[in-house]
Amino acid sequence: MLQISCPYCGARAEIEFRCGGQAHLERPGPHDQVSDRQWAEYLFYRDNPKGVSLERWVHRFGCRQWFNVARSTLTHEILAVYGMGEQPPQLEGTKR
Amino acid sequence: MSKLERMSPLGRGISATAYSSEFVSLRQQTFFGVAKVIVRKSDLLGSPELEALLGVRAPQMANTVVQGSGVEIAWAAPNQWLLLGDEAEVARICAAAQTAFRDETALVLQLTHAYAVFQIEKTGARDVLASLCPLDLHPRAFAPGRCAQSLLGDAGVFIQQCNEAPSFRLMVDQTYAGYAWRLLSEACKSLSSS
Ligand SMILES: [Zn+2]
Repeated sequence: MLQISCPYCGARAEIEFRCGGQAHLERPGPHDQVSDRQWAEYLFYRDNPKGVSLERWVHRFGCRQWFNVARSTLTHEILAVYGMGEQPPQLEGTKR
Repeated sequence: MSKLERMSPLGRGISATAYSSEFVSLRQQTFFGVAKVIVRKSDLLGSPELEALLGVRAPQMANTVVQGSGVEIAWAAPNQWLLLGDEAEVARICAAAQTAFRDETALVLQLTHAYAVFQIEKTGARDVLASLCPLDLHPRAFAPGRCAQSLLGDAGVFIQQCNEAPSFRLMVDQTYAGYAWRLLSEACKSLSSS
């Protein structure tokens, strides 16, 4: 089991959290100028990195707050925890 | 037709249900008041009117509880607190808080009937909880004055350590009352027979 550091509650067991998928997705717009391809990219296509994955997590059974996590998909090591709306820290192996 | 009676979430009338052995005691706490306060600005709970009402400033440190006058105030999330105490006292403070917050963006929500509340005590209490909950309950990590929201089996739970005995207060959604009671009482029995 992973131990995840909630920015508010500190280190807690993974089962208290839920993963909300890839972080930093931005809804394209204005909506009437967005192509089908752009919508499909936004709605359906996700990165599948071997290395650093930037993800949203929520402390579902704790304080119920959302935050971002940088996690290695190779080692499951959590490399960084940062707030919603914040940019990810510079990490080796981050695709961006 | 039988007359209407107030039921506990365990459905056995309002008489408290209890288990007790040499190592651990468990009981349901009835007539316990709970309310949630959510504010836009965190300094709102430090306003003089409300501080006078609560008797204390709401805790700013995550997962801590302070004793006010009549109620305890527990941190639940950023800008969110739980008021815990005697049912009538919580209701009185809620009514007064609604007046105090009249010109502010705040939510004061009575949750007394939403929760089932249990008290677990004695030397084995920590072991029983550790078998059902992923929190670190070692005294160096969890002590009187600390609280946390976590899991009890598959149900969300609010846990608070009340004293050194140790005594813990547990609150689960009232729909999970029977589930939580079964988990806790079976864990208490197996601890006592091992
Ligand atoms: Zn948290």
